[in-house]
Amino acid sequence: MTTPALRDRWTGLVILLVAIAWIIGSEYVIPSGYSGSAFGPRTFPTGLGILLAILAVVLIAGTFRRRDTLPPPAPSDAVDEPAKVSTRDEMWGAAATFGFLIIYFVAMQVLGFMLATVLLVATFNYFVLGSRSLVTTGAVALGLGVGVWYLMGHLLGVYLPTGMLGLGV
Amino acid sequence: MRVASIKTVMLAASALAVSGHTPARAEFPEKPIEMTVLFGGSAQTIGQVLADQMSKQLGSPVVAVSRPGGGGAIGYSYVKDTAPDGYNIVWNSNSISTVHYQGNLPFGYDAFQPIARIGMEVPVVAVRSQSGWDSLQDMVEKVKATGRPLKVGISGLGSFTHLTAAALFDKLGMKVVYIPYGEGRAPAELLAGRIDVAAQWPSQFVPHVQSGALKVLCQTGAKKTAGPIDTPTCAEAGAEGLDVTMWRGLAAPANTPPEVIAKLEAAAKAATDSEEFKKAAHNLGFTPAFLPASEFGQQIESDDSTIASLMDQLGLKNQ
Amino acid sequence: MEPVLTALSAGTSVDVLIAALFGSAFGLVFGAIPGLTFTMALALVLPITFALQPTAAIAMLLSTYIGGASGGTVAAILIGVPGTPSSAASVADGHALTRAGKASLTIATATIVSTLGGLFSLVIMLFAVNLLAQVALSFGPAEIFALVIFGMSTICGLAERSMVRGMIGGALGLMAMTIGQDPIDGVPRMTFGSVQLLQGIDLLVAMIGLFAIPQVVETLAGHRAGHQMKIDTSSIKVQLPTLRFLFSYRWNILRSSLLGTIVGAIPGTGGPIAAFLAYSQEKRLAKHPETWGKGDMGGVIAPETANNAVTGGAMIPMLGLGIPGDPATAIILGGFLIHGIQPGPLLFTERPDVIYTVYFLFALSYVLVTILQLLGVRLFVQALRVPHQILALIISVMCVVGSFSIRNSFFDVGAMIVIGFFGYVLQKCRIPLTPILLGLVLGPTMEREFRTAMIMSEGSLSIFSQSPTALVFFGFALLIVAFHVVGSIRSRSAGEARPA
Repeated sequence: MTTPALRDRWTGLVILLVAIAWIIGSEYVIPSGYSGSAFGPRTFPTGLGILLAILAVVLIAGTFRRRDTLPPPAPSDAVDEPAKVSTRDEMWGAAATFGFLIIYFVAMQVLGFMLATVLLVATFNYFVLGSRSLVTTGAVALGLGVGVWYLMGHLLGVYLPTGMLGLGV
Repeated sequence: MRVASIKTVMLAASALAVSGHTPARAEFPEKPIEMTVLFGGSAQTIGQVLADQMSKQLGSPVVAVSRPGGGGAIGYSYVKDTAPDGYNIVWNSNSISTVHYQGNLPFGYDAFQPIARIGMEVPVVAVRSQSGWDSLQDMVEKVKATGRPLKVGISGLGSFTHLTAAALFDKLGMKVVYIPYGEGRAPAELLAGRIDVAAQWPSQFVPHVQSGALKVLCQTGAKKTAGPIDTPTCAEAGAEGLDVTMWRGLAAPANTPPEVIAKLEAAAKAATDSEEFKKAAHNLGFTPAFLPASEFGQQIESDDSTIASLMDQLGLKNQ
Repeated sequence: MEPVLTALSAGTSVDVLIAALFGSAFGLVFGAIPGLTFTMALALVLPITFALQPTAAIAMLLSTYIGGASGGTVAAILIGVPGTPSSAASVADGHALTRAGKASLTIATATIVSTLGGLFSLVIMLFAVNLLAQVALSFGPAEIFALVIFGMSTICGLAERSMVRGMIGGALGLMAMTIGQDPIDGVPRMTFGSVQLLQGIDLLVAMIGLFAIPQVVETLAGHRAGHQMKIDTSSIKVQLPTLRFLFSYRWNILRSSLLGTIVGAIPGTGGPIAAFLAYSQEKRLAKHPETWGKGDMGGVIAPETANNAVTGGAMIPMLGLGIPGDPATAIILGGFLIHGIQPGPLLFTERPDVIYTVYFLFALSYVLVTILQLLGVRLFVQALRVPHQILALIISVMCVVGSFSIRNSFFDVGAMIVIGFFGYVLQKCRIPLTPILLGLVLGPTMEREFRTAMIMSEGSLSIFSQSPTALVFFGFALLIVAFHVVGSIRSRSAGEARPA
């Protein structure tokens, strides 16, 4: 396990590299504008890159000052830190989430909303999340597919992808 | 509780009332047509009114879908990449030329097949009533005497109102600072006195002209258009030969079959001629001016070269 | 008196009530689903209003707007994913309260204070529409830029434990928003030739990715590890706030309403900035600011009151000047114009009956939205009974559908997944996500107004120092930063004094 300070040091370093890449990028990639103003299209991106670089240095410097004596502060963010979950489970959760999203993203373009949703939600629920009941699995998948299709497509008049197969749903 | 259902009922009812016959199967259109709308504000509203009327004519929904951004580049790119079957059309305008020559769209007007011109919009130039400027000539003389640059509010650098204002003040030989406000904010800035002149669409000035706070000096078309505000053309008012107007119309991706175009063109014509459309257009300050596909195509082409040379001359051209 | 009576009789007919009821429900659902917003709901409702008589048309537009402005709260409180950017400020405390088993009380409270905020803004509109329209006009690019800087200073209040981390988040959000077409010169920035990227990162797409995806990962990891989220499901019962409870927050509600109304009237700002400003203001004034962010009801009341007070504020320049401040009011303006009603100064003198009808329908919409939401609370909280891994799956599907439907674009779905991934990694590195959203919300306005001001002044920064309004907001921003810097130094030295 890495200590919080060490992790912060790495975070700061990565952010610093991103900031430097960003500054270089904004100076080379962004064309100059024609408004004739002293503050052109590059001003803000470059300025923000410099700000980020400074903040990253402050973050890194802070990790040396603190000497790991303080207990790691809980993140003050909107999403709470979950109950202790092992790194293994954490990685599994991330893999499952992004795996599902990416496969669903691709499948929806080919199969359309309805088919992709019903098939993938059922598969994912049964094989990955380990739902024990085939009935629940089917009900959730069908309910979600048909429910969202009806709510969005029919009640709200929002368009859902129909897919390349042209099944119309 | 049900938009789609209410819409369907309305559509069915009006389709019966209007046509009295149902189109044979396997005939265009068999499914909803998507009309991509590129801008917000009154352009979007009038586009929705048009879509609504065309739905009634075609007996199949025409749905206005907003795809704003990039000065129109996003919507144009989307429609260009769709199948040329008439189910994806775009509520277009001269922006196809401005956004292309500005360098943000790798293709130009010829990526699309014209369907019909629906109407014209003529930008106008407004000042505060207390500005002490009675006419365009008056303003030119008094401002030139002071030697300071005129602050002109426009919708965005490279936007159509910018092009219009640049053409006008270039002709008048005035020193100008263009201040880009995005859609619709220039009238407020003019009212507040932070700019001297605003070049915008007439409907945006209507309440303030009525209340007497603002006055419109001229409209930029060569021929006087009966818009919501009565005002001389800029050419009459001293900017000789000025002629900048914007058209709005419909287009489909290139290579859309001619019979599909013909069907859409007929529906657009009937929609533009309908009383409901005329009334809504009047209330929104939009001037209906239907033009069939072939003539519309010629206009797009000639306007494109005009815009190209104008932008080149004003230093706005990047492509 | 006569115009009021005309308004009342016009506003109480059956078709008007049905139109308002439809609009309220439609707006609420759009607000509640992340990715769908009232702007979209209004665009969909507009064609329906063409066929209605003017009063019913206005009723439908206003109620859709108000429903949409209120609906975002439920998702924010219940699942921690804001339905609209305006309710993002309510997530921290609102969702923490749900985890503490107080979902229904929180939703009901948020509903009621939203209505109070909205009605308060109506009262201000009644008495001071001309004054506020003038205030709105007095905000030019320099003043709006100063206001946005003041808004950015609330990052300090959102991430008090580490200002550096909060500021890193804010800077990342601001940077992300510069991708796409330059707002002034129109040149592409960091798009590498992609037309899709030209439109930039959509705020809603980013919001869904940032808030929902890390949460889904966390839930699934927790499921794998065998423990459930800490939500006390045994106490899912409908609980409404008492009058005494609400009365104890009266100053919070009043201040937040006033702030929301004023911010709403200023063009180019809107709900999210009002909500964050109200949150940070009330947190500073609270007796126990240390409980904020961990489930303090005040942290829900302040942003929810303010973001609904924005609705009345936003109507002020639209009605009083005929100038819409955002895309939503632009659509409402279009609906008015179609029916031959031209908002502007003359409307108040020539058609007072129309003005009173608008006021009446505004109030009516709030009443209907409140009734629908309070009836719905019973239903909403049932969502918590759904096993959490299934709920996570439903959220994932809704994220994909929501981000697709913003512009019917698969590119946005891909962007949502990528942003979700970055959000997850950043959260693991303890970079808070809410400041990123704040940067995303304020970034475009901040840059556009600054550069517009610079073009106006021909490059001279004196445009800021010559504006008293701008100076006041810069002063506020400095004070807030100073307040938090002093606070954090004090707590750090206190921490170091303790033996380790």
